[in-house]
Amino acid sequence: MLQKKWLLYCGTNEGEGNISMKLTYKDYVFGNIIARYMIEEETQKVSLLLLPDKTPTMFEERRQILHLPEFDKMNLQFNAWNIGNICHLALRQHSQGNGAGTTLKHGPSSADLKLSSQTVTESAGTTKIITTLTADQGYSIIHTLIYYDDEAGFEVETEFVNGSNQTLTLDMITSFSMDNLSPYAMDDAPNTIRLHRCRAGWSLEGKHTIDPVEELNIERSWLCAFPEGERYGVIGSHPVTRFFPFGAVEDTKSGITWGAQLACNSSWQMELTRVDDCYSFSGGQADCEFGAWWKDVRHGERFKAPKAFISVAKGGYDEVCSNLTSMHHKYCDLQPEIEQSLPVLFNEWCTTYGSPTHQKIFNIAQRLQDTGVKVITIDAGWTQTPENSFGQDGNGDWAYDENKFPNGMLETVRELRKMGFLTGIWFEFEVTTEGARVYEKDYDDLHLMRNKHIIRTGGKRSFWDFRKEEVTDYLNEKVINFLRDNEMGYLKVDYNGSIGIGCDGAESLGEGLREQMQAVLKFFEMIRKELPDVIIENCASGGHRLEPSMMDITAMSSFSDAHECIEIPYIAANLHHMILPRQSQIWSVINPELSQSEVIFRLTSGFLGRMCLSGNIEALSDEQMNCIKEAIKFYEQCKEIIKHGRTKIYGNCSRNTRNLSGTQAVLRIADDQQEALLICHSFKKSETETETEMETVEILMPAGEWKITRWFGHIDAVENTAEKIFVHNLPAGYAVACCLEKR
Amino acid sequence: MNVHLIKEYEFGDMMVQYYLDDDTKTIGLQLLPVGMIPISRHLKKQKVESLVQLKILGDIYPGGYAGGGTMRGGESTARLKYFEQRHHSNDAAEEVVTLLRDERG
Repeated sequence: MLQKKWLLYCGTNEGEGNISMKLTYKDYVFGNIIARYMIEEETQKVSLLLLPDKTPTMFEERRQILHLPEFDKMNLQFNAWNIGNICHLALRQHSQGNGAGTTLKHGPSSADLKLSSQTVTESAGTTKIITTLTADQGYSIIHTLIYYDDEAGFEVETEFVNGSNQTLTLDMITSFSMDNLSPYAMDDAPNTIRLHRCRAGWSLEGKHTIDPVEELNIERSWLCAFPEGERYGVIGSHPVTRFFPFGAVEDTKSGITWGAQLACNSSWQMELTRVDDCYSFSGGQADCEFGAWWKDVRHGERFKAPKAFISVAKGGYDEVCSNLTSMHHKYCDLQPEIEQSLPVLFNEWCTTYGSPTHQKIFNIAQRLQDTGVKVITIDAGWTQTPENSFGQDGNGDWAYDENKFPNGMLETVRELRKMGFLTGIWFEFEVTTEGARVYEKDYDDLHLMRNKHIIRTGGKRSFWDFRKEEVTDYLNEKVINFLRDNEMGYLKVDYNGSIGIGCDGAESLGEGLREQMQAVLKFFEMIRKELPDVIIENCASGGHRLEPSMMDITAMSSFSDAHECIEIPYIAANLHHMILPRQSQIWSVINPELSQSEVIFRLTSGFLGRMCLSGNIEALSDEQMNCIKEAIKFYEQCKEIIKHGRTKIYGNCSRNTRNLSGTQAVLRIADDQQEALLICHSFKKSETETETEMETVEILMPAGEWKITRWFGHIDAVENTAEKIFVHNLPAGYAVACCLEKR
Repeated sequence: MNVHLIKEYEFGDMMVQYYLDDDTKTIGLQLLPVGMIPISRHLKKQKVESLVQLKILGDIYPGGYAGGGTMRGGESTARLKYFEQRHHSNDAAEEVVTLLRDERG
């Protein structure tokens, strides 16, 4: 239990040292983190800084004035830094900042905001610091920093309130902003600051990249005449495509890293900007320039920006990501009771590939009896779909195929229940596809349009307009009532297309998209409310919606569409930094033609998250079935470590996801530090080269003597010494997992 | 896939090649240093990418995952068919003009 004692210090620097600005600090301590609010007395501007401990900051010693020969001669002075802002916004009614085209931050709309009040509330394990800033024009920002006991980070809510006497148009508003980076630098921190990001792509999820600010070319210029910045994000309704909504800024000299995640299921952006010696890291809704988004807020109205999660850590990417992902446990704990035991799943997609029938599902269930699998999901193709469409066409009418399920879905569900299984079912209810009655022209008014044209993507997929009650009423009947009437225990929601830049029906295309995706989220909330015991899986062509707003309302997510690939454990391991393994559903597709080592390789991948079996299970040999049973037994024994722990990835893997070489070793230490799970895979050099001898991987264990207690796979490759574990020459295509206990 | 080289031009130390897919009538452009022979398109089963990419309002967007990422490769581009190519030269410059047409006009 971490000690909590907020408001450690409230004082002023009285313009001491090199600082001519008079600053007031308000320090609140939450666990190991200090939340420091800095208030400039003259301007009443406020910024927020997270500090990982009491290591002194350098504000007092930092240079205040830039002495430039060119301007000294003219007796002109320029500030070397300013305290920044707790929220950056750009209003269309104001002149834009000097960075327009690069960033809408650092303009007059946020400069006008002055501290109006700060209050602290506490209730049932939650503390909120509510800071209100108001501009002379009458508009305000309400910034709420929320701390849940025992967490290592904060949630941030930012709300714009229009108290002016006119309609104001938001061109940009940040959800969070961490300014004054780095507080441990005396100057502009040359060769010290770097930006961590996590890239994504279809079957390419989770690649970590690091860019020093010097590589981004945003380091300090001699005068800083214009703000510079790196703005990145994703456009559309697949919010995890090129990037995850995440970023972290590391001060490599002090060894401190600040990180943030956005909860946003539509277009988003993050920015690392600089106007002087310091960097400002912020994020939120994709703005007017990046996401074609603006929002009219009438007199008296409010607008709430997407929620953000922020943290700071001593250490780097691993540590700050662990802080951030751990904050989502509380939402996982609200999921159906059965989810708390991380049941093993079976999904028949890689068995029938779009052609499930009652008989096939029944046969699968028979084969899976006594294996430990708890849920069997019927994937795409259970509806009346055209042949050879992989269950993708004709969706939207949601009528089951009477040829495949002659006595209805309920009969299948009940048969499976008799055998001890929950039944799951696949939907892609946000879209309609060619071949469905509701895809036709008569239903155009209920579909999203852009510039008055129906949005069609991938040739044959359109999007319901969830802002229309007629749509949600229809889907209530087709989805929620269907699930209830057929006693389904599990819902897999797929989403195989992105809307793109936005849609009609609001003041901007971006706002149309935001409204649509908020309405989608509401529909998910309705399912949760109406069917509280149904497990919901968040799938979007694999991992295209692995972001907090969707993940916090669902039980788990499909980690990737990497179904039967060698790179599965590479992607699954990388995702430990972005999502909790307890929510990361990983394919373990087992087919009869696989060798024993291949079977072990795929099953061991499942230990990196939620094991989901698939494949031609009926045709497996007894030896292969026994291997599956052994894997599930191992999984059951180590699932508490999968559920609650911290991950570090070791090894010498190459970076080309499709052509991996080397060995990967994922060490997950249980939260109590008494147990650990080690999962190792070796990859081929490339698809065409032969096996090569693998280098040894050295794994440093936390202090203590560790002993291997259980294992699955090629254990001969693992050597356990007092402080370290070595993985020696694990052959390409082989895998091993072992549980360790501290003596 | 039925792709062949329809024309190549040498400009200084560069080779300009135009490939046509006979099935789709898509024409693509490839620049190479003179003397550097690339791996055969047939060996790589390399498709032709249109030398022009465009997206007309109302046409279908490219594959499901492209929305917000790229407008390349959608219906408007697929409808562009090679029509003819002309080569002009004068003292100052050489010009290769390629005409593509969409049957919708």
